[in-house]
Amino acid sequence: MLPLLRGALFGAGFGFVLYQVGATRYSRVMGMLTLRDTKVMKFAFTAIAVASLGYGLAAALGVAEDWNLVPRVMPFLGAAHLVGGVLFGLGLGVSGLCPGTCVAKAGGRGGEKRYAAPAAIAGLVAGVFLFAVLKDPLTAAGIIAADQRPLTVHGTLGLPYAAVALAWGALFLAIALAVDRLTPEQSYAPARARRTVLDHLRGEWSWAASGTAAGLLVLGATADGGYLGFSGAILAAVGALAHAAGHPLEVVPRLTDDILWRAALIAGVFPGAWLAHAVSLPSRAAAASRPAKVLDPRALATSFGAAAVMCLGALVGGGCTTGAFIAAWPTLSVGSLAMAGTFFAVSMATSNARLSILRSYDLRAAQAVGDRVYD
Amino acid sequence: MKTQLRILLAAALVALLAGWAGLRSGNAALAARLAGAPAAEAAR
Repeated sequence: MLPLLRGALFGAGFGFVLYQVGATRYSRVMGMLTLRDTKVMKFAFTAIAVASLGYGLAAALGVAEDWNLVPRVMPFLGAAHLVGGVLFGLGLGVSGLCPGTCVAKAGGRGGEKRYAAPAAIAGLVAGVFLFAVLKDPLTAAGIIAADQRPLTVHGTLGLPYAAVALAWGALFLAIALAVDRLTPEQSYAPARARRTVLDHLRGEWSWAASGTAAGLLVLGATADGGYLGFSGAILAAVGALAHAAGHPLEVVPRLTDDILWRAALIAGVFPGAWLAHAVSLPSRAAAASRPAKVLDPRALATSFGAAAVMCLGALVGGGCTTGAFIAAWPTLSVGSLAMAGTFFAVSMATSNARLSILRSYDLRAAQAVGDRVYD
Repeated sequence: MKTQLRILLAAALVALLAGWAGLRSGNAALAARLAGAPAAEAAR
């Protein structure tokens, strides 16, 4: 029971943070990808900086092994990072969702479209089944490397991890500050002025505070023997359910403590985001008039399809926005740099093309909706 | 927000200074061994 409880607590903590920083919001994520509201980008860079500094400091002080803060490095998977990154980037650029935020959005009851977030969770499950079918053919075709080695930046350069991780952390903090200076951040005014500490905890959190909390959760998960990656967690959760149903998946052959920890991690995101929603201060616009959610079959289909493609891409390419980016870049994994670099390039191209060329959405309108319904 | 940012920057500076002191005191040899443990398949 203990791995389940510990995994669920880390998941709940991260779900709470995702909701409070606004990473579950369509307008915030599309704003990040189009550089028109970069709060979530600064949040992620801060989390990477805090985790990098934590790992680097533990290594430099010689306590990394004692404190179980040796980073877990995602192996290099070859062309899979390109194929998986393109699939994940398309899903992210179309839906504004990633695996963790699908669950956090459902838990936080976000969005103006009724049942869109549950449809996205169903899409994630479909993505796991697609991966279960396609993994062997992709490996046989040489797209997923058979010889998977944990390549790292510091290993390639022949430098000590501690020094590179500390410099890496300082670099990402500097980048977050530069992004803050040079790009805009959308502000959603709260229903009433925040005066007390409790008010600040209940209102939308700043990127600095939430990025610090996320970085500490990444470090805590490592110290606990886990890994804060949500696409792997969805694979573990579906695998555990398949075991319970008596039909184990070949891609999750055994139920280990590690698998149970990861399955509980993604399950914990839901109550964490639900709690954040329950205690949070609404925006001024939402307090004045909150429109009823609408049932839109097209939105359901888009959410389901984008999440399925995104989850398949994450599992092929070695991780999602947490597993291959926020939790992975501090480990200096070359494979995760390739994966996240690919999916951010593709998702930014997709979202900008949709905004400026296809005109399939209007960011200002989305921000106005987001103010009223917490999109 | 400014206060939170200042706290974050101060903590980062302390971490960098402590890390620098740790590296200078000879833990670099240990740090060099920390190539990282490979994550499991499901770690994705």
